[in-house]
Amino acid sequence: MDNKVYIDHSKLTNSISILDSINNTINSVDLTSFYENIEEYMKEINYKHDEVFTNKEELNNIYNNLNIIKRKTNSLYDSLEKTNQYFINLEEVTEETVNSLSDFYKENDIGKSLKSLKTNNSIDLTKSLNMELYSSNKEKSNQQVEKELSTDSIDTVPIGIAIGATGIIGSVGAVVLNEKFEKDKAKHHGRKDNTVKIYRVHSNNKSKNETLENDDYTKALESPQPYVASRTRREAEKYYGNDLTQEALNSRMGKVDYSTELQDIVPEQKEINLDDEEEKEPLDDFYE
Amino acid sequence: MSKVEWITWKTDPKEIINPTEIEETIQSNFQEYTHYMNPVIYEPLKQEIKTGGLSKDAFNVGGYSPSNDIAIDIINKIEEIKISYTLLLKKIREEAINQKEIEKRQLISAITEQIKRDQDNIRILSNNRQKNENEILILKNRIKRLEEKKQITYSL
Repeated sequence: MDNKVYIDHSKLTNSISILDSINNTINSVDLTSFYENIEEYMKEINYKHDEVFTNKEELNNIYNNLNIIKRKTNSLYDSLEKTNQYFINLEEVTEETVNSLSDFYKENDIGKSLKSLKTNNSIDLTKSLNMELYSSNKEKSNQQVEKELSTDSIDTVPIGIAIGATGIIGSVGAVVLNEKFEKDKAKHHGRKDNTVKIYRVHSNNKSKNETLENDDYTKALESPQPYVASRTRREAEKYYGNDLTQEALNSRMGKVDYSTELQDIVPEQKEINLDDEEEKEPLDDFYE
Repeated sequence: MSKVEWITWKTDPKEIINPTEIEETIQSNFQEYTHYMNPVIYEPLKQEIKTGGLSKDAFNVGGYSPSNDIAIDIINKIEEIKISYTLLLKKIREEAINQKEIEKRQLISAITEQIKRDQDNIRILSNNRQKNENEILILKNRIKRLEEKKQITYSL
């Protein structure tokens, strides 16, 4: 399974409004009235001419398909709207959101994965969502992950963080955005068009100040280990709300030169648990 | 499909089942359906599937695009309804034509029997022609009308 999410919000929003108008029209003109008119007419003929029309298979097919169309159009509208909202408000992933997504995707592998996660109550659902979806990245090294992320494509945006130093699961994916959307955002934030944007998937719905006890990542940080990309570690820090300060990290791991700043394009609604001063952190190390 | 009890020699041939009229009624209903469905649902959805937010490129999770799948399913259901309508029309036409033949034969048979009865009555009444002249005339007129009706029924 490909571990990427591609979403074009403006197209999705447009489709949602079209589906909304389709639903309104369907609800105002009862779709099954076409079937009912034929059924009534055939009943009259049968009454007068002694059950001349006996085969009702096609009529039943029409009726069933009309109802399916009604139901699926409504459901498609609801699901699309929820999904659009879900990916816009990534920091607000809740169990309800996962349930909704699971229902939406129920007929394919994503739905099955989501459903299997739901049965395991001991796992934090939102965290597991990303762990399961991106589980094939468990064995990838940090370098490999960095290679994946060092794309020049304006449209491919890596989400999440790679924490590969100790083989800890990292949530890595990509969000493909429509160019206009990004250019508008770029203008607003004064960014260049060829910069890479990072989306962070919040796989933990706890506050940033909470620490996860017995968490592998926390243990890894506490024990001395070779310095990896400072960016990844810092992202991991934010991600899991680690209490370690930057000075503590620097003293342990060695200084990192942050003089070259990469303008990080992260639309506000997608940034999660970031302080303002951290927005301008460089990404050079990450993409070397 | 079977004989109907209400057909007698008095039945108007226009009351026999009319497959053409039935077909036109169903077709008109079908046209009303397509004129509604096409611009309201079918075409907008198709466009969105090709290039809009329901396309595989617009929303794709792990290689799957469920919105695309569902939208294509809706389009397929609309197409299935068109096919069902066509098949329904074909079956109705066949069944109506068969029923029409049965009713035609039934009416012609009833008319033929009545003509024969009237002719027998004329023969009996002719024994005393002077006395039964009026009745004989009535019967002869009726036979004439029944023959015409029979021809109309044959031509249906």
